Amino acid sequence: MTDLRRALGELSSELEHPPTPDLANAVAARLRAVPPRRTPQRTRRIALVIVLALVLPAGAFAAVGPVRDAVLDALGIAGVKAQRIPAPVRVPPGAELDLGRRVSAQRAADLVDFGVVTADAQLGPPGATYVRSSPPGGALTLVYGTRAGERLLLTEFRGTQATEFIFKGLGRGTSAERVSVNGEPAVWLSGRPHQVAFLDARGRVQTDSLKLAGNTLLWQRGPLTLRLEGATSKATALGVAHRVG
Amino acid sequence: MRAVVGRPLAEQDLVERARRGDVDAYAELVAMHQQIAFRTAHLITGNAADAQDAAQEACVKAYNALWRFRSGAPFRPWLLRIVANESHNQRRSASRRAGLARRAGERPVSGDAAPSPEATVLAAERRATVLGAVNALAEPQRLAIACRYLLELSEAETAAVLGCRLGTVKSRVSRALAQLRLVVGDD
Repeated sequence: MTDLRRALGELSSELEHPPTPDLANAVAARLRAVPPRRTPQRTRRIALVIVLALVLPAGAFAAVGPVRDAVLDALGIAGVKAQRIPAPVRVPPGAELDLGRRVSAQRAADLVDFGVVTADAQLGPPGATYVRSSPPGGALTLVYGTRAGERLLLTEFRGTQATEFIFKGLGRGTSAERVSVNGEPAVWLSGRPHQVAFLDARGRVQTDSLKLAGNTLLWQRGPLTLRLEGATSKATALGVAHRVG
Repeated sequence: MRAVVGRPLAEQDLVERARRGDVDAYAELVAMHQQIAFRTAHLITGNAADAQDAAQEACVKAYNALWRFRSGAPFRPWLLRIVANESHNQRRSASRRAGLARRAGERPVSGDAAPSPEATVLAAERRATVLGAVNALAEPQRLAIACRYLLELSEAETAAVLGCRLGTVKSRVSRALAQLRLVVGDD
């Protein structure tokens, strides 16, 4: 062993560590204070998600008028582009948002290059897990609740300011409010359903991915961008978001 | 928390019970790993209060994420990964971070014959120099060296804390050692 490695090894036994707190009891107390399963009041009916199949060309978004929105202009959510658009067009009912491939939770963790975060035990385990291969690093969506009833979608991906991945088009009936989740920037979109689409690598709207989405909370959590869809109240969405981890 | 009586249950049993909602089992699991969890958090956050918050938050989040823990896998690196994530989040809001420090008046346990007082002083000075050089490393190298040598984590556990591959740990440690040798010399 070299002298340097020996010195490092000796240092390990003489380091000044603060006394270890009693985490076990503190954690147990917190867990006992939280109901183990969700209650019906905790989640709300998800707004209808409708396919808008190839109705609008991508250029339609570039031609948006000079409607400015202070919140959207300085969104602060990496990987998300949001702007005001003319009122969302009428769309026929159809399939749901393309969340990607359905996989097991364990498999999902291997398919994305970030540490997956989840909602807390109040919602119970997710009923399904989906993974998309784009953006780089992958995007994962956890579906909480039942198909027939109330659902919440939690989507996560590694957002970068350089590459936008999700487009949000807001009509007049949709409001955007700046909020925060655990001290990080967040935006609450509510009111009438807004348009949501994926952007390609060049930042163009992929028209075949264009959908309508209900109330949505977008926020940053370290390197991750998170999107929670389906909560009908801001309080519910923020409550879930604060406990995501 | 229920007291641990006699021989602790195997870790895997505790994990399975915790997954079924047994908070007592989870508390036993946390008790087994709380020291290394806290020290890892302290290494990253640099102060005890933030480390306690981060480690506790991480343990709560790990409980809620047990459904995606791979059965049969070692629990410690998985938990340390969550602790590290939480600690990085915590540190971003912290204003001040202290470097690692030695306990005053402590001497390492050694199997060698008792060295002379002069040699003891020189060795202690050298360790102080080495620690100073570790604290001065760039953060990725500092964490790699501290995890491997000062917290004595395995390479796999270090990879979990750093959020990188084993190969990256090896190369980062190797580069850090080379840099330390430049500063403190080596025989």
